[in-house]
Amino acid sequence: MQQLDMKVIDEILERHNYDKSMIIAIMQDVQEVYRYLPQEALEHIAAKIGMSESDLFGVATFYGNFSLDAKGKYVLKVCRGTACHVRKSADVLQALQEATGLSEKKSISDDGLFTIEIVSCLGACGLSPVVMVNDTVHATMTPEKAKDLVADLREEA
Amino acid sequence: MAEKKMFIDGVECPFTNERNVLEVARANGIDIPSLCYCENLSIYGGCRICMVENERGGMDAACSMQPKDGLKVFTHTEQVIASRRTTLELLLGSHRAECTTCDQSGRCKLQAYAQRYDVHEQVYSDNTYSRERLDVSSPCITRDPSKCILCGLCVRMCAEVQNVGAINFNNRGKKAFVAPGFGKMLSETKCVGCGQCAAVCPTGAITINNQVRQFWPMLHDKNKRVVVQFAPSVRVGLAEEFGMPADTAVTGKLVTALRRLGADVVYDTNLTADLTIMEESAEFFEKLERGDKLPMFTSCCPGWIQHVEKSHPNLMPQVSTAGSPMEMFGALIRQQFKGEDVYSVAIMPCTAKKFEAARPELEKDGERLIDLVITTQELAHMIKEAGIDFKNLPDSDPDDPLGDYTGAGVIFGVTGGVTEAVIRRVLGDASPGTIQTIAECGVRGLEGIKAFEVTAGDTTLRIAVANGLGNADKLIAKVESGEEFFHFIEVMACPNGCIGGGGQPPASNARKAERFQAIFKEDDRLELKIPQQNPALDYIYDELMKGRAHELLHIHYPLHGDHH
Repeated sequence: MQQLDMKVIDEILERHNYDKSMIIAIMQDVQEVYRYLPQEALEHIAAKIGMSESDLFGVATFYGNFSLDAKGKYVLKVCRGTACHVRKSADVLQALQEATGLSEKKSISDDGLFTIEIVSCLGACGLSPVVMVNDTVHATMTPEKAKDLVADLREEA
Repeated sequence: MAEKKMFIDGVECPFTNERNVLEVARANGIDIPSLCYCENLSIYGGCRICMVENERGGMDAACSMQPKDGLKVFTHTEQVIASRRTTLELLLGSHRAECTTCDQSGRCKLQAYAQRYDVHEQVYSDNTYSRERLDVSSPCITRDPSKCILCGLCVRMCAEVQNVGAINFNNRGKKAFVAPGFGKMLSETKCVGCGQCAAVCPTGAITINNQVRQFWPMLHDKNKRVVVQFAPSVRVGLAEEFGMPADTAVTGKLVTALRRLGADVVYDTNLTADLTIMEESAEFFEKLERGDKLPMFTSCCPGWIQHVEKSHPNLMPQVSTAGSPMEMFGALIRQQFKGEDVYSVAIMPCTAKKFEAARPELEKDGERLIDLVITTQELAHMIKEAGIDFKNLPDSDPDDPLGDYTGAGVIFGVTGGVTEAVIRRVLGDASPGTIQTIAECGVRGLEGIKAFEVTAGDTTLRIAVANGLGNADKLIAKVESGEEFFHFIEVMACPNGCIGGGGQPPASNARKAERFQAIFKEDDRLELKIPQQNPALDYIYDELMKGRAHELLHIHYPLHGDHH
């Protein structure tokens, strides 16, 4: 996993002219780099742009898109919407959890590669059950395909 | 321009520049309920309890509605009452109502409105109050998210008025709660303990750290000599709790009440306010002569001291090392009763004093200077608990030989008071003409920031006074950018100074203005006007503190550095 580097944060701040009104864009850029918002990064930003830490925390927890928990290199979004549920997405989820060693309580795998997120609908019901890996859609999943997917990703990494 | 008027419930209501319909209604004797609104903060419009009906049957929040000439609204139609009741039922459905044992009981606005608007049962039995943990990390205030109704007053107070921003909304929707963020507790934030959040909290979600139960056993202990001091502004906040007008000082009754509670010795902190002025002005002229970096900042407000330490550490060497009046009296008490089993208690208008008293620096000769700080509100509670008819108490005077004080000490209770006392000390003339001239130099008044010049002999001094930490920060920004120069700056963390302290009964601006009057009435009543007239000073400097005055009356906090 990428080490937190305040120089990277400062570059992002520089790009946005340390402008308080750009705080969401700044946080998006930080999340782009680290895949989540590290607490130290937010504390650093607060001090640099003159906002309170509690303000930044408030914004970060208001929007579902921001995460304060570290995420794996591959974020596996498992759709548990109605269509996917009917096509047995629960089994797919279970297979992914077994293959990665994750659970509802454990959000990142020990090797730092995987995070599983449960989402309500990915808007691709015709391809159900659906799993998204970062920006790629994997259609008509089965428990077997899920295991293969994790193995392939491990190899790729 | 013709007079503008609107109609509320058919009553003609003239208005000028009121910020919303809510204020117009209240100014005209119609009390629209509000939970998330405060005259000193931005408008949030979140609680929906202040809904009123317009002519077309539509509903609007009175706090967010501009008054317009000819506007007609109705505040207790069938629709309005139904809406209010539903709002209260929903709020109670996510509030841990334990009214019989809650510290805020009797002062809680939610409780009062539930009664006023006939909400008699918990409609939503699956109560979804926040299960976030209780925060007792601060010695000043206690935060209980289970009682929070998310009105956001504390959040706005902390950010807008105090510029601290220690707390904010976390999460959203039904998972929302108010907290510092990152799972931190108050003691891990920039919170200075001023208690202004508790003063605006409509429920028991933020309350003063109640230490009454620590005080009673000491009062009951026959072997302890309980020595109590009380601060200047306690005498003006207390009256209101007993149905007396806010513009009266109740000094004599306060002394009597403390004795009846069981205090063995009672002192008025006014004496050490005089002493603070002697020490602080001497320090100021030393700095001026030495060419030290100015302005020198005052040091009596513990909220301000913590704000400097947490947010402006570079300025700490410019903060006076003179102890606060509370600290100084603590030192006097230890000297006066050397070797005795003394329990030293300070009655303060202030929650931050609880923190100050517990600081490691407030120890001399291996003894704590102050054992316990009780706020005005806690004291009022104790007086009621003891069944004392406060209103009809006879007056009495503080104990000798440390019972004397001057008007300069009394005025410490309001913003600008410390500075006015310093000027009295420096000009050294107690004649009515001079006292009046000083009063009119620009130092008096409840404005957030005051700046003025005073000429003493051949030196002209530029002075500024700020109350509220947000105002202090604005002033500091001007000083640090070089835009303004001052020799001396007084800061009080609470708006209006100690009369509006977090330990006082919460009050409106109008009420605080009356307290302001009460303080100066008390000053007028006193014959002695300038600190050096205080007859106790000789005893203190020549006997009690002989040779040790500086050591005992000054507090060096770590960030003060060592050049003092």
